[in-house]
Amino acid sequence: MSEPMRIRAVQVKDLVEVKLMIRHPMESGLRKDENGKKIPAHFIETLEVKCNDRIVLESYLGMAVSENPFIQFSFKGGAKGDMLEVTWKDNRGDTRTDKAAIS
Amino acid sequence: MDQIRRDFLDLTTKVAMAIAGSTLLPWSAQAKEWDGLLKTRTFQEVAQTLGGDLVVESTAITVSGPEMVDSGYIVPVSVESRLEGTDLIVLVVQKNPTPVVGVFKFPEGTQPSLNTRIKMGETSSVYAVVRAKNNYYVASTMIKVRAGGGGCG
Repeated sequence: MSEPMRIRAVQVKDLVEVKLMIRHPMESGLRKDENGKKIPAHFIETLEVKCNDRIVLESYLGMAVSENPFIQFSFKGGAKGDMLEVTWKDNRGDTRTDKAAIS
Repeated sequence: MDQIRRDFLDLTTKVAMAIAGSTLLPWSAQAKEWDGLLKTRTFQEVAQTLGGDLVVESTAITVSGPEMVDSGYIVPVSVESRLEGTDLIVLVVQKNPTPVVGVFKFPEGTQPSLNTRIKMGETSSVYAVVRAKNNYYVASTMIKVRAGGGGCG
């Protein structure tokens, strides 16, 4: 089971500043464990952020994004109390959606 | 080439196009675009894969990160485009086994700038390929890495 993401979304003037901290190993598939066995690839491939059902960020990630990905960005047109919805999907087909209100 | 073979080729092309056209739902089109990008080795190839012939260096794009890191496992990078109409940014670490680190699409209203953390296998240029009004631009920074980020992808 995946762990919940940390979503911080704060309205500053006409912008909403978003910080995402996602729990995920982001294994590249190129590393080996202590026994020399390959650690299988396990990384997030797509990440989508919506505000009140409107897409505000769409991304495709590779295995070179660091473990527990961090992404910070900002958008216009959001207000305090609006719902932010973040969804990721990884290369194993696992997916997770978390929500947070803009403060 | 004889006429029959030419006709046959023409027909198969039409059939293939019809099949492709009927099955290309938006999500699969995006997945396909992304798959192609994963195989690209340079920022020029990234732009070509997306349909751009020419990539112009731009001072209206800022890519920044630390000058040097002890470990390439977590390297903070920022990218910002001040080009009007920016709707896509691709981060490329030239010397990583898979150079394309991430593709970010910015719908209308989202600021074309982003902070994230990436893995780097060795000292490398980090490029940001930017699409603005269907033209492609690039800027880069050099980040020195003392020890690679274990299987940085």
